[in-house]
Amino acid sequence: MLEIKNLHVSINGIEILKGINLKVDSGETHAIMGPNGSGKSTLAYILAGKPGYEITKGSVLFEGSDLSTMPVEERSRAGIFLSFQNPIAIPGVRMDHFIRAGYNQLQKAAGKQELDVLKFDKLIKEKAASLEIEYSMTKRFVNDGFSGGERKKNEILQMAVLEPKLALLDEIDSGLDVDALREVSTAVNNMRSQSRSLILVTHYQRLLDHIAPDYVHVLSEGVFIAQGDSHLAKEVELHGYDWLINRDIGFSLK
Amino acid sequence: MKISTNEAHETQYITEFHKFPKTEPSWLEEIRTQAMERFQLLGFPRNRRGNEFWKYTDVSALLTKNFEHEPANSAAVGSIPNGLSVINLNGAKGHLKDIAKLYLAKFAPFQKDPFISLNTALFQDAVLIHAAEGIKIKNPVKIHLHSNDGKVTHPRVLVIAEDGSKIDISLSHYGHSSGDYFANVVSEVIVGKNASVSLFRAQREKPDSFHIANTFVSVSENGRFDYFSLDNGGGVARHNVNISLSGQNASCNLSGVYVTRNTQHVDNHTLIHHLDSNTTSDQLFKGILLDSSRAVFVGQVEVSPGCKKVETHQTNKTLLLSPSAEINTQPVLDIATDDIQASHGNAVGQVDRDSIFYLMTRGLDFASAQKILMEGFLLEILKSVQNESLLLESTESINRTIDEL
Repeated sequence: MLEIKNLHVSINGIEILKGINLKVDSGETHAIMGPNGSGKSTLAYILAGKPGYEITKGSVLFEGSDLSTMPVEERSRAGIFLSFQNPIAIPGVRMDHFIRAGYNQLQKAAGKQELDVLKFDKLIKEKAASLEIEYSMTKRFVNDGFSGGERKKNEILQMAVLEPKLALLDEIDSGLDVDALREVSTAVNNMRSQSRSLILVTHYQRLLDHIAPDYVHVLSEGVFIAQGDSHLAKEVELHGYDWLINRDIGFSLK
Repeated sequence: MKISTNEAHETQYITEFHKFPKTEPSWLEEIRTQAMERFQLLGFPRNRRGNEFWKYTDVSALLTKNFEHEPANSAAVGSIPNGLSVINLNGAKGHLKDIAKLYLAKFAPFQKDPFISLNTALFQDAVLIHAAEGIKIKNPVKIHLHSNDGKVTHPRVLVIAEDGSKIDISLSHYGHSSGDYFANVVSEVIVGKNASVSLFRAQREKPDSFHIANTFVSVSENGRFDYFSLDNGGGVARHNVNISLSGQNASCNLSGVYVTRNTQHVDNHTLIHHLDSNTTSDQLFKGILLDSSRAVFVGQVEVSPGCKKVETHQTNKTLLLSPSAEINTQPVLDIATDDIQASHGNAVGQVDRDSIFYLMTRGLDFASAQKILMEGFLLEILKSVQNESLLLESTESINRTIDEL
């Protein structure tokens, strides 16, 4: 589904990612871990198409298509979803209003029927119920006055509506207390399926106690220094990132 | 009276005045005569230099036009509930006649302003809206005021909300033709004790028109005045809103949106007088400017000496979508008391790039994302609209404005 080869990415001429290789197949859940400033979010942003991020070398293929030349909205229409680390508040814009516009764009691109306000309202109500997320959230202005937990739930609800093939969850655990982390994780787990891949970007192992990954990749200074299964995350939890960074050879699984 | 060549343009209005049939009550004839005399003295504003009130807005193009006079084209739309009168001033009888005499031209000072004096001298077919004491009207009163090509009209609206009454009014200004014309509007609104008036004003004049409007409001003890305006038309549009909070606990909330294109010029001047203690005023004006259009917002607040526990806030935010668009924004606070909470702020910027990216990751293209953000930006001004019908109308108005961009 996603194939990243020798990816180098710069922001304002400064190289952040320095040769990333990653292959994600349908239904797999990958965790990208790493200390602050290692390039984790950059990887999520470059896949979503954030302006200002430049691929200087290497390639990114999504279902065989070159992502590097694909506009942001077309990536979304192709099935890529980014859950933001800091979801933006947009006073004046109701969540259900803009996400219906996005949903209908995706439907149109897929040659499927667009939904009117009433039908869409039914859909979002069902999605919210299945994820145990308050439906009333959809009537509020996007993330305006939301708590950290509400913002993250709002991201997951949008994801449930758009039903992406590949979801990039950038620090979905940041700013959450224990209860909110459990709720958000449950919602994410409910969204896992054979046809949907997840990339979890996280600083902490604790998220992976709730959402078990198939593969773990540790990023440091723009390169993967270790790759393995969920046991690798446990090791990081025990010994810290320094332990891995100072080792000569990382884990290797793939 | 001797008229210099510089003032020759005004003579067409004076001539028009002398054509008036002398069939009106003497009190009105007297006011009109005084007003015409003032207009002759004042004339239209010609220079912006040294004229603070017209510093940012050039109306000299008016001097090159010879518009033909016609009575205001006003129509009340929908049904009028009991306890409410919406009539042509000429048709006022009985107590309404007395009320008109009591309030007309008492709040809009024709002595000081040429446009008000001109309107006062020449208005025809004024609209009188009267809510009897204690009457609470659920459905808004809708008034349409339209103009025709090559014409000048002087629409006049007088609203009286007696003590304890509640009324919502929607005023729509628009043009029927694409040519130039001049609408010179004056409204006076009297809000009685414990009364509440909401006024939604939609200005959708044609792009070559002149729209000058003056709204004067007096709010008594415990009274409330809410105002929402949309300026989406006019070649040169100027609106002065002047509020007197004249009794304890009187309050007002002014919100406005302006969306301008091409070479449009929209100027909103507000002036709020806090004349008593415990009075509050809130102002929020927001705009989106495209092409080479210009907008002005001057928010003036005066607090009289001795007033206690006064609160006044104002905010002006503008999105400039073109490098040649321009906004002049200026708060003017004249406060003669220490017992006050006051704030003002203005911001000028572009549509937030991060918000656009956020929406695009949800499948929206750039243009759609920008439109949704602009709508959200503007709809904030409606957060305090309580009347559902008025909220629906104003929301649709704003959505339509953005859709047309």
